[in-house]
Amino acid sequence: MKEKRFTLKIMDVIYENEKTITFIFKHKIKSGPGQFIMLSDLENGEKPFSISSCDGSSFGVTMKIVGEFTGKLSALKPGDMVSIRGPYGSTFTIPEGKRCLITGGGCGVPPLFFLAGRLIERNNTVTAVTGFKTGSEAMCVNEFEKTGIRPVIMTDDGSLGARGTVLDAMRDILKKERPDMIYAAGPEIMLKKVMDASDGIPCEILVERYMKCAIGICGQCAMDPIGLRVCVEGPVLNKRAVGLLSEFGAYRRDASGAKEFFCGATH
Amino acid sequence: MSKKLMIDFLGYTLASPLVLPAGIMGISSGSLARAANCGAGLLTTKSLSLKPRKGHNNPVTACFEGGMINAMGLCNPGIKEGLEEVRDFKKRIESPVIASVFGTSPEEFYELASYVNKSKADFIELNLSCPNVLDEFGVPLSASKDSVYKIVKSVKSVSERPVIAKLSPNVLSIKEIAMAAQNAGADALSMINSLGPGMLIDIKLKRPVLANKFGGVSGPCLKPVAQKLIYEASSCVKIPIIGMGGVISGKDVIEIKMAGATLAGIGAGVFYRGIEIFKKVNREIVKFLNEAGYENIGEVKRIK
Repeated sequence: MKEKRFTLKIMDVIYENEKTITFIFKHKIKSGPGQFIMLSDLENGEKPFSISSCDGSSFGVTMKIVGEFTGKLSALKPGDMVSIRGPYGSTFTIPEGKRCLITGGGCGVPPLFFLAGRLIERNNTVTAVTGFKTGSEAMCVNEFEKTGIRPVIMTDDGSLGARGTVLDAMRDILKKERPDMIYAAGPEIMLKKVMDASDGIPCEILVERYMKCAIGICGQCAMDPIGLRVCVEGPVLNKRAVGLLSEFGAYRRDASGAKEFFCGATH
Repeated sequence: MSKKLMIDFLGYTLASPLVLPAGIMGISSGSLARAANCGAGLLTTKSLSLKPRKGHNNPVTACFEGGMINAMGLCNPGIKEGLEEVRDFKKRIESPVIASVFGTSPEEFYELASYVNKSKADFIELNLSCPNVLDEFGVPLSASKDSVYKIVKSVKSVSERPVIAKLSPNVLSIKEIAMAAQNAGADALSMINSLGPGMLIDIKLKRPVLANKFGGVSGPCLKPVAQKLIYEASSCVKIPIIGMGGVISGKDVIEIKMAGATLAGIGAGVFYRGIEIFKKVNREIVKFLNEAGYENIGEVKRIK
């Protein structure tokens, strides 16, 4: 196996909202929705980011500016270069001619936009629900609409779309129609609730864990009790895999490997 | 697993001569379980220190034609939490476990060994040779035969578990270091830790690829160095050696055993051939034993 690392020029920087940016790279990669890359400026750190778009000649990654490292990245301009490793990990399943329900919360939305495009290419009918804390944090709304999908938007404060959570909207939809497949990305507590509410419908979710090597050797992102490596066997997991993970929805590990327990729901 | 793979090591009978070395996968009980289920006969935790360590910033790994460099920086949740992972592992799986520990003085190693005494770990391994914390701790302890002797002696005075000393390849005389460990009472050696450290540069960004700049070299390029040092060390010590460095195939295991090792560790190989590497290599060993007419892996001895 060879590591896939390259140094690429940022072709474009798109400001999704005040706190979210997308980098576009003019570089052909072979990738499916759900996969991620490790992005670094080789100065301030390196983090995993989901691929949010990928066509024959370019790809993009979307990131929320939350800390020191993403803060530094947000200062980068078209023409600046970064180190990219990947793409890594598993991809969402793309069926053909099925009814698909996409549910995304916050930063989980961008990879689902990539997924929606691939689903439509294969003649699937797509319903999308996206949830945010508040309207100013919404992202990818225009992008979804370009693919012909009008996402149901939910915000905690009702400042955009309807007031409520992704789960509220999902339950309403499930009362009216039964999709063949449900996809979810977002905070883990939300993912757990989507799975619990999915009522026998096949479901795939995108799991996040602290990552270091991203090539399956350091054990940092391995989930208990079976040692499932999110960087290799994840980040996209189906119900059966999640069912084997006692760690899911309970805790994750910090940089030292110590357990950090989740407290309550945010979405 | 084939009976031909069974091998004795310090009073234990292992199901396979393959070892998961310190720092690979072993941060959690789940990871250790995964490696055991994939066919490793002996599992090592990440090196545990008295206090938790976040390790170095990312990027921590980078690959090149002959292998990879890494500078994890001894990230671990601390000895207490680390040994809880061993306890959780042992609730489900019987395979023996080595608790790897990292300290900076004989006193710290003594204290770490006291924790291991109260744990479910079967062995204690002293990481005397991490090449990735030079800025913080200076030259690794295993560079000096006196330090090696003092630390092993200190741990032996308290440890109720067999003591394994993990040695660095970056020394002038491996024989002196190996002898010092044996003379101080070490029950086994584990060698070699990663080489160097080394460095890789990104020519477009004009920066080192690793955040720590330098990182220990591992992977296939290590194989000849490992074999030579194990061959030398085993010429002068009687204690068994866990051999590692560039082992990625069944043939590599036979080679490292012929160099003088009893067991063989697989680390970087998990990247090159996937986590299934333990199963694959076990199969390749059995195939070799059958073809070459050996009854079992224990019959493969050090060459002259």
